[in-house]
Amino acid sequence: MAGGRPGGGGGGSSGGAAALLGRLATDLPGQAARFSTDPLAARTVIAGSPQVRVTVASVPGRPAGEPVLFAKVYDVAAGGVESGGAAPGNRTLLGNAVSPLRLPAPGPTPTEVTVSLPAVVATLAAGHRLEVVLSTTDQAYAAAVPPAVYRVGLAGSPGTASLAVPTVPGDVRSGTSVPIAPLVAAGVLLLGVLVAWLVARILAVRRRRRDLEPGGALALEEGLADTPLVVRGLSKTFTRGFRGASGLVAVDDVSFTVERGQVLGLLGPNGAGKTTTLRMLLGLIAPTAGELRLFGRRVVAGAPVLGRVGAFVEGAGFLPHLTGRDNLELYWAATGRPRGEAHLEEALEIAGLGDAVDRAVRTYSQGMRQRLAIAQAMLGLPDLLVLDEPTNGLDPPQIHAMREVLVSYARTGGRTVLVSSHLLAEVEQTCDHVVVMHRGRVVATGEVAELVAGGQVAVTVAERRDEAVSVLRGRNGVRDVEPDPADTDVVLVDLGGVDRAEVVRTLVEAGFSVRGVGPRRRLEDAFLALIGEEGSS
Amino acid sequence: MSTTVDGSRTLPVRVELARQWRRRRTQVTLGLFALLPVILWIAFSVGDDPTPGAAATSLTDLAQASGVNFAVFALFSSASFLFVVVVALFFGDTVASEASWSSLRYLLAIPVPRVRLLRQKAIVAALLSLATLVVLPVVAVLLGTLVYGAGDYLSPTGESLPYGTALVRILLAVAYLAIHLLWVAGVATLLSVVTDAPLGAVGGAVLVSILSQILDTVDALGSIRNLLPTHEVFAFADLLTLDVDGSDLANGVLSALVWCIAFGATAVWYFRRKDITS
Repeated sequence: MAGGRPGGGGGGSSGGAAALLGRLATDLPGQAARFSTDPLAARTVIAGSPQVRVTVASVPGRPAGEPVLFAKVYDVAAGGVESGGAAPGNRTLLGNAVSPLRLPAPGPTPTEVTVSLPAVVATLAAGHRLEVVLSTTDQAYAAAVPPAVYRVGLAGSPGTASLAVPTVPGDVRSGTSVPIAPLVAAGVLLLGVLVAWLVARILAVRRRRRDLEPGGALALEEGLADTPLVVRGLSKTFTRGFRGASGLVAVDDVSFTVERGQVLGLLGPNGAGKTTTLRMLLGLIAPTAGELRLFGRRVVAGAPVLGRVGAFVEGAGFLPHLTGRDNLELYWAATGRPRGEAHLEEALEIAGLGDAVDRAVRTYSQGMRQRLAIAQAMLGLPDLLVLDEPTNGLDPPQIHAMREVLVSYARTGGRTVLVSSHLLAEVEQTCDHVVVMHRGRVVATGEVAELVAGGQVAVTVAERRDEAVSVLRGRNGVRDVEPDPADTDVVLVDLGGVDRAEVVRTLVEAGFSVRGVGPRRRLEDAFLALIGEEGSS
Repeated sequence: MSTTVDGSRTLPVRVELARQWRRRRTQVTLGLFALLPVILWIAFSVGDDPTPGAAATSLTDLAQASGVNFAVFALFSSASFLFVVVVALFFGDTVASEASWSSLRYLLAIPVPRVRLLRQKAIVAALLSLATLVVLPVVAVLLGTLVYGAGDYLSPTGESLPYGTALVRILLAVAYLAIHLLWVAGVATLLSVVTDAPLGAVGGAVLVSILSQILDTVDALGSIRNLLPTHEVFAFADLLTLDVDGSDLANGVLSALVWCIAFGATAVWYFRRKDITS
């Protein structure tokens, strides 16, 4: 029974169909009659207009007119209303359409009508039901204004009523389909990558073998097998941006040699190209021209010979979330070499961190990180130890201790140390050899003892400096005497075999007050003069 | 007398895993993904039930239908953004974070050959990403089954899959997502070797993904959109029906591989030549 009452509200009807309507929001209760099929035995494709025969009758004693009905058909998923499952039965309005129909006014005897439902094309899965709904109202249509009540039922005896559905025959070969083309393409792609990798690998091995042959790029240069480092004509120009036309020349034709057992200082002001040189030494930066050879082998990125080098360049680099000890242990583990070769405890002793070694590195001070980084460079006791500004951030006692460590490191077992610094005093006190760099070029090389005054002293007198100069010039044996251009009280004396006590006695006997006698720092002067010249030009 | 280093033995996966595993970032990410299903469950418990009898049902309405439905919902809600962020995080961080800690130069001076460094780090990033990708559905299935039962999987199209079948399909869906996300891994790795800022690499990869998703909504682009790396992100939904149509899945796999190889190869090429100035 379906009641039509414009404007909604409760329908005055009751009966089997209406009882089911309560759960449907789209078909208002009391305004629709609903009929459901049995579950479909097989997957069905509908193509066309399903048809059903229904009966319509007026209800005695109730108003009736020419009924306007809206017919539609739903696809109801399995596990739907009837199963009472947890999920609501999912209904899809086929074709998203309704068929409106107007019938002549029915009498109390049921009139049979054939209803054509909207024509659709739809695939119904097995187990789904079709549901036909005839309603008296629809959102898209204006319905009759006067209230009316009709009884709608299926034609035919109970259980024999049917919904005629035009179907398209056909069989499902496989419900699951996988297209071949993209998968083949993916396979070919992976195969291509594999082949490319294999080819690259073979070529790399071949090239490596060729390079390692005598005369090859990576071959051992026989005469240098025992020389820790040879730098030849090394240059590096950084290209700026994408134009690259005006590059920054960081290192320009640098050549020097570090012999075994030396503590060599790389001296130069900030920006002299020291760090860039050291980065090239480690294969981090590719030189624009020239080469570096470590123990006779050319340095390229990842060259195995780098395993003989321990480095500390431009500050510490640790994993902040790990303790100092874990950092060193994992660093050593990353080398793939046996743990026993690490000499971890010795390194930690040099770092001198005490209990802090078991704290996360992020809590460390600058100096602590610095010492830990130097300890890391010493792991495995490398043949060549490279330290960039190792005393930056250390306090004086630590600087002193570090100096001792470096000197004794080079003294034992023929190991070599290369230290860079912008501090002259540090190089003087730590190193036996020095390479002075400025603006990317080497400006002086040699033994520190040679460059630092051996025979020259600076004598400070209280007054009458020029008279003192002439007095000393008149003394036999002194090679050269001149006034210090930088200091009005200082006389520079090249002793030439004369004892400095003799010089002092000469001056005192001539009535001068001698305030001090000290070594004349030729290296420092040369260094400052060079920088001064360049700076003022 | 120290010896030269055998490049093929440097930076073993176990060592790199130890270096990454102890980072709080790694642990928090994994923890969050284990926690996400619990948060979803609480949200469902607090919120109102879906309107009964609504004309259209969505995955969200069905999420409480069974344990597998819950897991599928969790996967769907994470696929297009959360997983992208995680993969971008693990891969974008590989080289860039070492560069920002200044530890990259010390690894390269060991010396770890550059391609090997990239490879080992990519392996570890892949392991961590996969762990995150797996932990979410595993927890969701366990929790969902516990609170919503081991019922059939109900799809919004009205189909249902038995619990066991649904579990297998979810496993396949996770496998598809893992392959799909390879393209994010490629982009993030490339950005990681190009920039020294980890945030730039991670954020950049996420941005690329968002950009691709935005472009995918522009209808005017037509079939060009099929080439976008994010186009097939939800193709795994096809696995959750009775009859699986594999065409989108296959296209998704192909597209992910192409993008991953393109970006990854560029990353290797660039990193081999790069001057390390960090």
